[in-house]
Amino acid sequence: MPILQTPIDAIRRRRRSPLPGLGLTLGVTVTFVTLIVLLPLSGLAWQLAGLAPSDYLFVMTDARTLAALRVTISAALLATLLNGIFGLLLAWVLVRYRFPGRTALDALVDLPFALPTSVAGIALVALYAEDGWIGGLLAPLGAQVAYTWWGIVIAMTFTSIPFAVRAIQPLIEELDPAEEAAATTLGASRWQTFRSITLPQLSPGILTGTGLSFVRSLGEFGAVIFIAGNIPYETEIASLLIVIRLDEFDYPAAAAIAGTMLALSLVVLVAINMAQTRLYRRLEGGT
Amino acid sequence: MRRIVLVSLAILFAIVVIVLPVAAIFTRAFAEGLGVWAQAVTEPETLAALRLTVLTALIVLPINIVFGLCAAWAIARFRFPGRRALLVLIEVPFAISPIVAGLCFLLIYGAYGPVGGALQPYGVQLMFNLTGIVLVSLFVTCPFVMREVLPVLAVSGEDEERAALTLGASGWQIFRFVTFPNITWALVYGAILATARAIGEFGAVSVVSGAIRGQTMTLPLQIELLYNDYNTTGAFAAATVLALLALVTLVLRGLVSVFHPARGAAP
Amino acid sequence: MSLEIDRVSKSFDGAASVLEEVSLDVADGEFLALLGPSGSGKTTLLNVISGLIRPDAGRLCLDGRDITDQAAGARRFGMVFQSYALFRHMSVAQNVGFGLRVLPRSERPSRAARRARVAELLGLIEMEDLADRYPAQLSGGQQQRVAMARALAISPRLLLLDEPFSALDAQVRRSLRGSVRDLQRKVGVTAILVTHDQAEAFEIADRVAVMNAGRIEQLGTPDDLRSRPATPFVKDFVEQG
Repeated sequence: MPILQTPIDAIRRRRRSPLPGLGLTLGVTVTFVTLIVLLPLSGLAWQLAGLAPSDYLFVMTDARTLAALRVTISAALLATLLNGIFGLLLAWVLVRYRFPGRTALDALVDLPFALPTSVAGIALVALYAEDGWIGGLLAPLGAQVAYTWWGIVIAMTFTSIPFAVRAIQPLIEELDPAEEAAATTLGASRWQTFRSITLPQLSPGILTGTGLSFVRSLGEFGAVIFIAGNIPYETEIASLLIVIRLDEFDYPAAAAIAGTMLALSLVVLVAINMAQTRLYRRLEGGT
Repeated sequence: MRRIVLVSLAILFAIVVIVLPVAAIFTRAFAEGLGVWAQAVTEPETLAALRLTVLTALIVLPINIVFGLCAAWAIARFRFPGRRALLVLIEVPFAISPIVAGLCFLLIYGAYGPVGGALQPYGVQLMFNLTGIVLVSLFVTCPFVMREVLPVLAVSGEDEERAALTLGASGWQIFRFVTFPNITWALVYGAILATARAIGEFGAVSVVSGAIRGQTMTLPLQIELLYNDYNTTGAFAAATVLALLALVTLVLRGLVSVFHPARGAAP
Repeated sequence: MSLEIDRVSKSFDGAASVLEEVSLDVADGEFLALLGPSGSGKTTLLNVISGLIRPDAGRLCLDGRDITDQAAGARRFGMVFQSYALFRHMSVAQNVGFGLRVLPRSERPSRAARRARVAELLGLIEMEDLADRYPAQLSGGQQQRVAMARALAISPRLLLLDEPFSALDAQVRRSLRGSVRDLQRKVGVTAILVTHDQAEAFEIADRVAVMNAGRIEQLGTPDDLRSRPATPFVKDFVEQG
């Protein structure tokens, strides 16, 4: 019998809508997407297609390129780790506790989204340079953040913290307090309850939040270049190297690095998506 | 006890990581007094950059709204081949970093790109001018309106629109009287996000702007230029303008989300 | 107005047909019910009549004039939807007046005339004092009556009712059946009701078309169907209810 039911469901969904406007709206949409999204993407593809594998390898195994990738990826990983921890903390506090200033704190989380990246960059320099509030405190200790790898991590953490908080927050809201209570009655300690009951249920959000945060950090440019110092081989990020190659009119090299970064981002995004589907399937059962 | 520790930690983190940098901008900008700040903000180059930024946003916003509404309507109300692919394509700009986005535009619409190269004999130049800035701004902002409107349209269903149809309403009347009132706040919300992004975009614009002083510098680019010129007062003054705009955006968002069915309580 | 349905067929995406050469005549002023289980094609037939779905083959004639190719909006058929589809952001009065407001300028009555017409319709459904309420502030039965008034406001050439009582509880349903029938007589409009409820069809309609698997099994008065069911399916379906 299900063999008969399925096609009818499919038919219902595919019923042609009597509403007007398909031609006009789809026409506008497809034209826009073609000019603004599809053509530019194919521009990159076109440039990459013209690149022999040996040329590509030559660009990518260049010591400066490798250093830039290492700097970018390692800083993004640490920023993501920080965001995972503090994102969870902020989301937890925002959902579970009522305290004066909660609404303000909630709004503050979005500030890095709203703040233009170059403003964020210059702000971080002002704060972490030797004459800045925090930089001034660190200098006597011999620690330097501005113009070092640590500065890159700070900038990446700043611009991507909202992703982590906003991805985890709704899942905390949906937690069933009864499950935690049940665990407590079974003799679990608070930490055990958190680790074995709460955390697994939050894992899809943590995964999405850190994944998005990582992708954002990989590509972050404006906030980073002010504070990074941009010393080749040491504090030069991949995005900046693309810009440098462009300024040298070395389009193939720029395209090769950009294509690699784009591929890396897409792999991460697809991986999150797949892992998410599996996690939800386990949590909610069914297919 | 635990509560106090966690809340304090969260607040401390927010202050150190989020509040202090923004406070630092304002302190630095006003360190030499209001007069110096006012003078720096009204520098001709800075004013020109502000004008270009506003102009870009004013061009990008209406195009974005029309596109976002069209895309949301087509995707929510009709089934057609390639619908899912279209949805993915519209969201792609969120996954692409600013520099890579700018590069993509340069590679296709630049003088050495297939489209830009084909147009060059006719004296049409698309990159390193206002057109280029508008094009990449459209790219980085294109998902916002569609993303907010689509879920609201999908949830509201098309019964009301069918009813209006049987009552003799034309396509435009259905949109104007039935659909639009239901999506107004979602649209406004998306438009605010898109505008903020268009005003603040740095990386993608920096690739295609050509960086001609006083001509193709938007305000975010002008900040970097001033900073690299060791004109820190000017840079921080310009930054306060954008930071204020960001704060206004946040407040507007908060106000609008109260009315936005998918973001806050129903009206 | 009389409606003539002539060998209408419809299938979706080449799958098994939902309507197979359905023919049916509805007389002027008649109240006809399309009765059948879900999946029998009755709602599809109603949507074909309303113009929301185009048939693959066959013709629809209204008072002898072919309307098969006419758009839904141009047919001027009042439709009451199963969900009522009231405009959530409009008051009761605005809902009822919508069909008049969207008329082309040359045919649109003046604001005062529209208001008078809305008041008259609200009187008909005994809801004058609720004119400024919004749909969400109304009971299910009240919403159903507003949907009726809204459909009648355009002086429809045909009134189409798609399971209009299915969202109501049993008691309200019974009391509304009578008032819908009274309203239809008073206005003198030809009406077609889609329902899966045999008792409802028999109580309201002059004639009932029993549908099954995309065909009309039998068309007749409630008495005919009860006393002389033409097929085992009709016999079963009528006895079940």
